[in-house]
Amino acid sequence: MCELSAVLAAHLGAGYVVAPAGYGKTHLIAASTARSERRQMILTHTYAGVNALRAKMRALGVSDRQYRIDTIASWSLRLALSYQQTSGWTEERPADNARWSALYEDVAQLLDQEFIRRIVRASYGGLYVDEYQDCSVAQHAIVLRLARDLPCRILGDPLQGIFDFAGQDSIDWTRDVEGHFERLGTLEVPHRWDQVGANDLGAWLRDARTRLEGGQPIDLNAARPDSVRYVHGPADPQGLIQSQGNTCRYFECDGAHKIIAIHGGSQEYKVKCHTLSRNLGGRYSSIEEVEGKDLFSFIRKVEEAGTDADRLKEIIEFAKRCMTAVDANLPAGTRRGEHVNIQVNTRNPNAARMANTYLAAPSADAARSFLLALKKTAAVEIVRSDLFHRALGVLGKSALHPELSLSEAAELYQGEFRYKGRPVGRRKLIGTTLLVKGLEFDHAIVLDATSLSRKELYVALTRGARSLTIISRNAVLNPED
Amino acid sequence: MRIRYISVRNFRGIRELDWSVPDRNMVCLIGRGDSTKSTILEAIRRLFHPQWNLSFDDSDFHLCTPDNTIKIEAVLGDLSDAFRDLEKYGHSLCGWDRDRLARTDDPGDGLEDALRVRLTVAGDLEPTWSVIKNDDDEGIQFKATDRAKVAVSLIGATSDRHLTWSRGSILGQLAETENIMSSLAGAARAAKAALEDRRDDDLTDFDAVASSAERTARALGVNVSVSYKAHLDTDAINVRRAGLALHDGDMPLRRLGLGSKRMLTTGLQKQALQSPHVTLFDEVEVGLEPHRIARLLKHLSDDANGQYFLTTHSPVVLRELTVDDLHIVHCDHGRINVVAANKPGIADSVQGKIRSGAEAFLAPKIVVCEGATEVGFLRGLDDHWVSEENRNSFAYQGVALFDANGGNKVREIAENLKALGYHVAVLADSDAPAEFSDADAQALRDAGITVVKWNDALSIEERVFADLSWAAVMASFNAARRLWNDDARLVDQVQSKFGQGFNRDFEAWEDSPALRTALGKAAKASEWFKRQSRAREWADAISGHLDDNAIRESDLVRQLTSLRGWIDNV
Repeated sequence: MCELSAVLAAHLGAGYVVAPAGYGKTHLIAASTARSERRQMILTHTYAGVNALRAKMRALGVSDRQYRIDTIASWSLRLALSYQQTSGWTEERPADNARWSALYEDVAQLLDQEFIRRIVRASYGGLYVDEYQDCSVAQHAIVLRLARDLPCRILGDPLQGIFDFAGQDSIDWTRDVEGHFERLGTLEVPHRWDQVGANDLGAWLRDARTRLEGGQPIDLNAARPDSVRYVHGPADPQGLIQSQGNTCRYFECDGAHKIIAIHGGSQEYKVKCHTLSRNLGGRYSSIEEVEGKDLFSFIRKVEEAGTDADRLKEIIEFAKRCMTAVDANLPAGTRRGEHVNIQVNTRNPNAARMANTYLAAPSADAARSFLLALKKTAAVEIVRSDLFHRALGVLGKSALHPELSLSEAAELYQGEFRYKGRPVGRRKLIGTTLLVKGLEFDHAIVLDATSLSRKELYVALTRGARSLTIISRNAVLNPED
Repeated sequence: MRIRYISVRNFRGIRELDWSVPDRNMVCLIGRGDSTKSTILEAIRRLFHPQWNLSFDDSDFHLCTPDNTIKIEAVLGDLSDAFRDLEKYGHSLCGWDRDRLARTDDPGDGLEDALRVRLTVAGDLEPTWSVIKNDDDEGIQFKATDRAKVAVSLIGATSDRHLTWSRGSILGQLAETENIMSSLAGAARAAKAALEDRRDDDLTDFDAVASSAERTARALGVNVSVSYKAHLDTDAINVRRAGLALHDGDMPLRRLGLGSKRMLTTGLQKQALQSPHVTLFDEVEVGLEPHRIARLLKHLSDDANGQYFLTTHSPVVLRELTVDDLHIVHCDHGRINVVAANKPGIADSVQGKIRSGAEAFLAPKIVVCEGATEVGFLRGLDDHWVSEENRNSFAYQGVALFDANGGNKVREIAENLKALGYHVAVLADSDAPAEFSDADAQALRDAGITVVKWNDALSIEERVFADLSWAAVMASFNAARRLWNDDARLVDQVQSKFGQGFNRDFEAWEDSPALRTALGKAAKASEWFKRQSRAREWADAISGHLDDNAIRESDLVRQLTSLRGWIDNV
């Protein structure tokens, strides 16, 4: 790989590297950047990706003068806004995918301007684009233009190209990458598994990858290393849910290890993640999309509520989404949005008192205290920790900036959240393929392997570095595209 | 990097200045004493001051009113890639149109990449440097290290600092090493040790006082750890990098003459700064003889890396420059206007004027005189007005005289000077309409120029001999006799103009129109006063007669009075 990093650093044209999951792509970018004299621009798609790259740069001791890491979206937006007279772009926050696509088209035109090209050449000595399989066609057009002025190295894995962006065409690896860029090499060593001594799992996954690439089936009954476990899932939905629950509930591993249970990416399975988490009574927490639809719907409902009582009821509704046994642990009066007199036999007097405080003087701070009191209640378990903490974060922001409305505080928090990335505090998580793509855990549980497409399956199989558990209704996996 | 545009608000004498700097290596600012030439240089220096600590006080504000925020702005062109960098100012570039001399929001085709920088100082006197893109932008910080990259230095009246290794000096830029510090500290300690050796010889009186201080200390219970004595405080010795100076043998070069120091500094500057730089040279002629001025200016104009802003009060400097280098600064109650001397269409004629009449360009008001006679005549009148009538001198009134060297050039010169923003008056004969006609005079008057042109198609000699009292006429003739020292020849000349019945005995001449006319014609034709010095002596001889009540209504007196009115009131 050291040799490959030298090849990348010295390459003056435009080239690509196919990087299977866990094969040290981030490391390759950092090692290659360290070899470059001038500052390199490294573009990726998510702030999680930005953070991962930044952490790797620090780990390898690459000076922060040698690189600039950004998402394609934020780099493009800033450039378009800086040169409004030329780009004609004035929206600071593109509303939807269509607007983002429009932005990328404007930026592609901007990059045809000689002065922008001079600026680009003056700023960077080369370009890396990570996770290229996630590029939209419009983003690809931007990269092609940058590649005229900068040595351009793109890295990605066509087998991990799964998307959520409706309205933006994604690139076709064969047409767009292989057709425009020179192949610089392939990463060959499954570092993620080798590093923790799970070489056999790494080898099995390499074989699985070859099969998926070739459209061949994977037979789970065939010889498997110990680190790959196959759980036969019943065909009936209830039985499957039970099997999934038990597999998660009784999963045994080192107390410091991180576990991810993975569902497919469709809306149906997003809901199943939350349901499973609830069924597991707080042992696992499900993770949310970065966009935070449920968070914003909560904020909107609180703002639209007509009375303080309604507001309290919305907060309790939200608590119920995030926690178990909320109703059973609040006085009926509180649940109706009323002030309750605290007596010796009042249920959960702490939370009830906080609810009273909120009703007396509704503030973000009081709402936050109420939610925290609920969380501390012995019988209450958090099942959507991510959502819950983001709500606390928004309320905290709102308390800090009383001049902002709640939704403005939420926007502010969301902006920072996008940037800082999701705090992965919890050890056991449930998420969809889309949400866990690019993340790394110790153990992966594929909850319903038969439901996954080819690429989703590959992403799901490769999340755990130490072990892989596959629940499948069929012993032979023959996923469709 | 080069400065393309400068805008100043409320800085010292400047209330308002907006100036598109021409694309030249050398820009020489001229104009009268308080036209804020030096302030423009100082504004540029402050905008690119390479350190964070720059102190302002109330007197830096226009009219000493700190309510009006000081704002100094420039557009930088010929950018270095370091400024184009997106991690620096790459998000904030603007465009500069070198043909229209105007800024655009974004760079683009046919435009130069440029950067707009601003220094603001409000009533709190804290300077803020920023790079801005739009007027209402707060901008991003324009860092001291980046200001230093523009490499602006001012060579002012005292430029000793540049002959030391102090921080930011030219020598300092050449040797950025810190390991001299321990040597310097050693030197300070050595000085202390040397004094210690002389203690018994030289410090006994001081030590006696120290001992008494020690007794007092002990009496008051102040702890004395060894004993009190007089000694050099290392703080006072103060051996620092700035103390390292250029020496010739043992003589520090700051002892050189001012001009030599400035020449040397400039040479160092050019040598030190192989990269582009902006050098501000206030009163470039100070301390230099004419031949050294020429050499210095040659040196500057040969430096393709530099953008030089000069100011000057010296005709010698002007004669060494071309019309393209010259920019005239006009100040109208704080509103500053900088006009390029090379206005299209008139540049060629102005070029010649700068060679021949350099002095005139340094004043705000110019009297264009038809020839040497008029120039000398007015100089004589100036002498008289100052010494006899206690009026302000032409110099005080900012008036310069310009020898057009022929009536046929008067109109063109006057129009050109007017176009350059000068206040212009004209003094011309009217005996040769082919050279300077009444129509010419009217055209100039229409353009706002005051024109003194004698009535009745007369020359100045004819006018004087026609209008003055007989005593003054004879005083004129006597002045001519003194100048020429050849009475017979003068009388011949008058006789040839008078014709029949001429009396050659000038002692016996009596007032007659014919004789006055003959005298005037002879004076004109034989060029009695056609040289500045002669005309000046002539004016000296007759000026005492000008306020004679009898001739108050004469054309001569009326026109001279109107000229004097222009001098005093414009």
